[in-house]
Amino acid sequence: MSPPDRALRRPDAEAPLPAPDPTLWPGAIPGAAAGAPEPQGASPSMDLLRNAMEGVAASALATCDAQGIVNVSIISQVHYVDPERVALSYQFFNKTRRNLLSTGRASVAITDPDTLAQHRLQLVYEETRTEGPLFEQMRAQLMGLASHSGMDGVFRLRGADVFRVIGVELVRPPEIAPPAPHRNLTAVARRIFAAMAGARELGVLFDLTLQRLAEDLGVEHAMILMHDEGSERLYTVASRGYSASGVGSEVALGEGVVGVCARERAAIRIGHLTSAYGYARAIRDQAREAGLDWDAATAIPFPGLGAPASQLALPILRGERLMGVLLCESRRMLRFCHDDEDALALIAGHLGALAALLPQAAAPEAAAPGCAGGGEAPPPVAVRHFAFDDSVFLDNDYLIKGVAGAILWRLLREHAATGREEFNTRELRLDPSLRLPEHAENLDARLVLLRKRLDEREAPIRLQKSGRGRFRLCIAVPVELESAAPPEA
Amino acid sequence: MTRDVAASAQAGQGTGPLSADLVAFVQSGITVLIGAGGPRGEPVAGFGFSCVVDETAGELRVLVDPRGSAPLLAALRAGGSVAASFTDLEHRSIQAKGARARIEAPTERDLEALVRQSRGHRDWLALAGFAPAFCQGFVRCDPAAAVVVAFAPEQAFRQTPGPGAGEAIQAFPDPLGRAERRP
Repeated sequence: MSPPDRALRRPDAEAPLPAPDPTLWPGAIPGAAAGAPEPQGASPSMDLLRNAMEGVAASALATCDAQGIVNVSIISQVHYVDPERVALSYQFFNKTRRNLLSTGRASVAITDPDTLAQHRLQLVYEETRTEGPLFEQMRAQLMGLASHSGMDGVFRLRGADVFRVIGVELVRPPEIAPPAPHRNLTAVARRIFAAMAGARELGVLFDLTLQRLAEDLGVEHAMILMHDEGSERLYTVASRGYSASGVGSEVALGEGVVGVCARERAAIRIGHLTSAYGYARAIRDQAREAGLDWDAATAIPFPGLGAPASQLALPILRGERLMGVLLCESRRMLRFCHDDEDALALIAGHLGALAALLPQAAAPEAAAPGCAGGGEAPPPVAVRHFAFDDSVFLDNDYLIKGVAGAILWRLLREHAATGREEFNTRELRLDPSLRLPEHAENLDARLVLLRKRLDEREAPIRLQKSGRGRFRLCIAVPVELESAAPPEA
Repeated sequence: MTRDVAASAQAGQGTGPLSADLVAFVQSGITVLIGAGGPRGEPVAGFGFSCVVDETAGELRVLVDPRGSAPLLAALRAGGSVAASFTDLEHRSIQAKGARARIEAPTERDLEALVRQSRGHRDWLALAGFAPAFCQGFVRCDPAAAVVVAFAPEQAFRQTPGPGAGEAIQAFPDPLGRAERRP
C-alpha cells in the first residue's frame, strides 16, 4: 500500500460537497439531445479519455467566483487519477485557485492529440495533495513539460488538485483515425508472463525479463534495481541496451526517477527530457563535487541514457513491500503512454512475485563445470577489504561493497582457512557477520549482483551455481587477502 | 512578431482595456479559449477559433463551433459572464472578461479572420512539433456552422506564467511579458 498522501482539504471539508445536478449539464452524454438529463452512471470512464491527458495538447480550464464571474485559462496538465477522478496542477495562487477554493467547481476541455476528439469534463474539487504518489507523478510530468516548453524555473507544482468528474460531454467527435497499434499489449504481457515462468534462477529471471521487454515490447533500454532496506538505496542487478551494464551502481531513495518511484511505491512517467529527473551527473560526479573521494572511487556509474526523452519507472512490489524498480527509457519523446504503463506495471508486479518465489522453487541444476585453472602458474591477485563499508578491491580496482562485498570477503576467508569451495545460501542467511537485511530474497539478489560483477570484470574469482541453494567459489589464481585500514577522511 | 506589428497598425489605439499591441496580439492566430458562467454559477470551458476586435463597437468577437458548445452558448444566452483567453506558443497570455455576451452569425470580416488566423495558428502548432493532421484539424471550423460570441471587454488580465500573472494588465507596461522572455 502506498503511503497516504497528505491532503489539504477545502476549508469546509466537513460539510458535504454539493450534490451534482445533472440538469446543469444538458447534453452531457455524447449524442444525447441538449437538455437531456444525465442517466446515472452513463458517463464514460476516465480510462477511455487518458490519451487526452498526456500533456500533449493544451487544455482549457474555466472556473467561476462566488458572483458567477468566469475565469478561463490554458492549463498544461490534466492528470488521470482513476476512472472517476482527474487532478489539475496547482502552480500559482491565482484567480483560478481562489475560485476553486471558493466554489469547488471547474470545467475542463481536453483534446486527444491522436484523434482530435474533444471532451468537456465537469468537475467538483475534492482535495489538494502536496506530497505522495500522485503529487510526485504530476511533478515529474510537469518538469518534463516545463523543460520541453522552455518554462524551466517557471512551472513549479505546489499541489495536485483532485477533482471528481461528475459529467463528461463530447465537444468534438474524433476526426482522425487513431494510429494503428504496433502490438496488443495484453497479449504481449501474457507472452512475457509465460516466458518469465520458465526462469529457474533469479539472475536468469532478471535478464530474461529485460530481453523480452526489448523483443516483445520494443523497450530497448531498461534496467532492474533491487532495494536494500538497510541502506535505503537501490542497486542495479541487470540492465540492457546501455553502453555499460552498470551492475552494482546505486541510487538513493528519492533520487531521480528511480528513487522517487521507489520512495513513493508508484509509477513515475516522464514524456520529455528533463534535467530534474536525469542521471546525467553520475553518482561518481556528485561524490567528487562533494569532496567524497572515497565514495567516488567506489561508485559504479549509473548505466542510464544520458539524455532520455522518455522515462518510466515502475515499483517492483511484493505485497506492500518494495523489492525494487524496473526502469524503462527511450530516446523518443512520449514513448510510454498510459497503456504501456499498465502493461509494464503488470510485468513489474509479476517480476516481484516470481523473484520472491524463485529461491525456494529453484530446481537442482547439473553440477557446475570445474573451475578454470591449470597451465602456467598465473600471477596472484590481491584482494583488499575495507571493513567500514565492506568494499572489496581486486588489486587496485574497485569491485563491490556493502552486503555483496561482505559475502565475497567471508567466502574468500573461509576458502583461505579451509580450502572449501562449496557453499550454500542458508549458511549465509544465518551468518550474523554479514548483517543481512531481514528478508531472505535480498541475499539472492546480492549473489546475482556479485556474480555479475565478477563476470563483467573477468575476475579470476567467480561464483557458479551448483545446485539448489548451493554455489561454488571458483578461484583461478592464488589469492592474497588483505584487511585494509579505512581511508583517511 | 511581424504579424503583431502588421495587425497593430490596423488596430488603431486599442479597445477597452486592450492596448493596440494587445488588440494585435489577440488577432494574431494563437490559441483562443472561451469560458462562460452558467446561471447557477457553474463554469463552462471551451475552445475558440479566431478573434476579431470591433473597435467601433468596442467588442471582441470570438468565433466558436456551436457543435458541442450547447452548454457554453446556453450559459451566455442566459446572461452569464464571459471570458476569453489568448495564448501564444511562448506561453504569453492575456484574458479579457465581459459581463455578458451576444451570440450572432459571423460577418464577412469574422470569416476572413477565421481563414487568416487558422492558418497562422496551424503554422505555429507545426513549429511546435505537432503532426500535420493535428495542426490542420485542431484549427478547423466549419464557417457555415460557426457562430460569434461578441462581448465588450471590461477587464483584462495578464496570464503569462510568472510574476504578475493574474494582475490587471493596466498595472503592467509590458503585459505580455515580452521583455522577460528569451528572444
